[in-house]
Amino acid sequence: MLKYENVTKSYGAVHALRGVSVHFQPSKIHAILGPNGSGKSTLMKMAIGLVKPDLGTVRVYGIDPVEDPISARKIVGYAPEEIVIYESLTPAEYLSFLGYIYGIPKDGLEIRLKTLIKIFKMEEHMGKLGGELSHGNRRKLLIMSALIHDPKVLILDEPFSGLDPEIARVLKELMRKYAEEGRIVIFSTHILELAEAVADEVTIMHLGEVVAKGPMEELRGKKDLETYFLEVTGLTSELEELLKAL
Amino acid sequence: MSWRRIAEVVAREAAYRSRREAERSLRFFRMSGGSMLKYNAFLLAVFTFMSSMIGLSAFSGPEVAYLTLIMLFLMEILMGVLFMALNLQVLVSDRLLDPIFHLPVSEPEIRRALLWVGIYWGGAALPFVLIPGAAVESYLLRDPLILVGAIMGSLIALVLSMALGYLAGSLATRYTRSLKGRAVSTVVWLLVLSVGFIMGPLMDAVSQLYEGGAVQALYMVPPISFAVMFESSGALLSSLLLVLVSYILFRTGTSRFWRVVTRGEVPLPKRPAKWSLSFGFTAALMKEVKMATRTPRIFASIIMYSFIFPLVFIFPFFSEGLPQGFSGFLAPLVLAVGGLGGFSILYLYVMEASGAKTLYSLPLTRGRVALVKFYTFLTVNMPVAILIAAALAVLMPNGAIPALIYLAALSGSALLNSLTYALLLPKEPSHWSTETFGRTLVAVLFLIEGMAYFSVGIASLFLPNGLRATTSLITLAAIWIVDSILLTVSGRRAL
Ligand SMILES: Nc1ncnc2c1ncn2[C@@H]1O[C@H](COP(=O)(O)OP(=O)(O)O)[C@@H](O)[C@H]1O
Ligand SMILES: [Mg+2]
Repeated sequence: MLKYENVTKSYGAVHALRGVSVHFQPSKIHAILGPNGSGKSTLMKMAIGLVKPDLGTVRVYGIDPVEDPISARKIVGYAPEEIVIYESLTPAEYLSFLGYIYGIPKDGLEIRLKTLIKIFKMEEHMGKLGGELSHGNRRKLLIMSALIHDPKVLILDEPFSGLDPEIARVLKELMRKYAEEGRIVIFSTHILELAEAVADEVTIMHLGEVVAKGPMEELRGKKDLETYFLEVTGLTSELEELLKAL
Repeated sequence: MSWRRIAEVVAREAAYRSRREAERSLRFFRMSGGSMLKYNAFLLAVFTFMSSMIGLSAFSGPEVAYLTLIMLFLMEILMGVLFMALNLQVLVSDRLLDPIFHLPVSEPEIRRALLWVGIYWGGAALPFVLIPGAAVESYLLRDPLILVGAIMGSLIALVLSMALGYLAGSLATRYTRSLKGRAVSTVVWLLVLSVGFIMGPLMDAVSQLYEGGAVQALYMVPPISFAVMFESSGALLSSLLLVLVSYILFRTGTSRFWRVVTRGEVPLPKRPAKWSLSFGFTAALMKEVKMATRTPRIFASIIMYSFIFPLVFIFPFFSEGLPQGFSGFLAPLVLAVGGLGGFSILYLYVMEASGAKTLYSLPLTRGRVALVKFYTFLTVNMPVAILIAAALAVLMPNGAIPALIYLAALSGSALLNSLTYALLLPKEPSHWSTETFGRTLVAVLFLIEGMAYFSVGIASLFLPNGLRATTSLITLAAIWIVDSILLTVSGRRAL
């Protein structure tokens, strides 16, 4: 289980997270939904100790990522929103390197990598330099990197941005399989339709707070998700006024 | 947008990419994004000191003074070329100019901006390689024209070295699979880095000119030509010619550089790329080696510091032997050469560039980062190092112990530097470059280590012959003890 208790984080005057308490259960796909700047990425980075909370605690299956980021990173697979890759390395070289860092034995690694390459249709691109890859292929490389060590917790920050529909579908299926195997799967998005189509549970964030959380059906039962989203984030009235002023 | 603004944006972008959050303890060594004041001040102090000392040579008369002025002038140009070329390479490979690509700026503005970037990054201090020495000579010889000439000469040297730097920098390609492109670029970088080696022959030529009785010819050589240009038409002509050439080279260099930077992606080989997976430590080693060979400046530096330098420093002992009565100094000497050799492990860090950000989400301790770099260093350096050690042991009298000292100093100091850098790496995911550690910090570390080896050498002067090797062995033991302490510390700290 991935638990956040009263987590607060500020960057100078910006309050990225204000007392967030939220639990993510295994066997489910969780969507974190929120407008830009609502704190989704900050929350996700905390699971592997990339960002440390000012106050509050985070626990990944009992591990504190602040105290022991190494153990946390061994069981979490994380793909950042920002695309950073080695421009001077080929995906083949980079993924081989990751295999060494995670200490994956040769046989297992070989089978796993070859499968991932097929799943993400990367055969033709494995020998190109990172700097030569297209945006979508860079995103795929990041996702493959998050999957290489078969993590118990999969955290993908805006994974669908830049993916073509075919690979987006593959990714959805893959997330479903991971959830069915009893893992925790979390992804962030600011696109309602994506959350609706993929997730079992939705956590809605706004201005560093969790404003709603629940199973998809429950939230959907209320009204259509968009109206609900705009209501809980207080964006409806704001938008109305702005549109009036236009 | 004015050219000064562009220069500031570029310099700040460089600083920002390398470290998001300045750590307080190191703030002195790091530069604020906008002003490069401290770095220039540091260089300025070092240059002023060195230059004034050299200027004292005027006590031996005007001829010697002229020769040293020419030498300082050459030094300014050579150092300027090195500085500029290295910094511009960072501009190209880190794409620091990307943010200003889409702005409507004209070429002359860019040229001025690029000049200004050079000045931010140490250029401001360069004239102080020449001016203080000239001031001292001018005072000692009671000849104010020397100072005037040197000031003009130093400014021309600045422009000229920047021009050459831009020409070299424009050959810095982005990462490419094209072997030819990389080879050309690597060779150019090797030339830039070995620019110091041509000092000796150049000075020899100048003093031969002078000893041959051609004092008049000396007047034609800058910066002397600037001092005497109103007395001799030859000097005037030579000065004007130099100004003209510098100006043309500067224009060519900057516009060529600008074209290369804005050209976008390099053309790729058409063939589909073959690939294969590797496993275990080989995979890590492959990553490091491939990155190094695909980054020509880094590759050239590694060739320089791992192969050429040790050979250049140690091989003369074999051919010429040590002077009479100095045989005991072999140990402190090889300690210093080996010890300073370990410093080049820095290149394995700075070559990571923006890819380093991905390392922060991996289960890596700082100790492990340091060890991977260290093993890579050993793999690359050991062949030549063992060759040198074998030659020491076989060819030098009592060479066995110095041979071992050399190997242990090279590896011990590589590990020491690796661990130091690993511990200094930023806490947040960041782009690694020399900016990450701060140029001043890198320079200070190098000075401290250099001083340490130097003091061992000095201490050996006062010790009986038998104790000289012992001092070196004690130093070695100290290095390895610090290594093991740092290894423990860094093994507990996550990246
Ligand atoms: N490294 C940082 N430095 C300063 N402010 C930051 C940093 N990272 C995030 N922020 C700020 O924190 C807030 C939340 O950001 P983020 O977690 O990235 O939101 P989201 O992923 O939902 O778009 C934003 O206002 C953002 O500007
Ligand atoms: Mg985000």
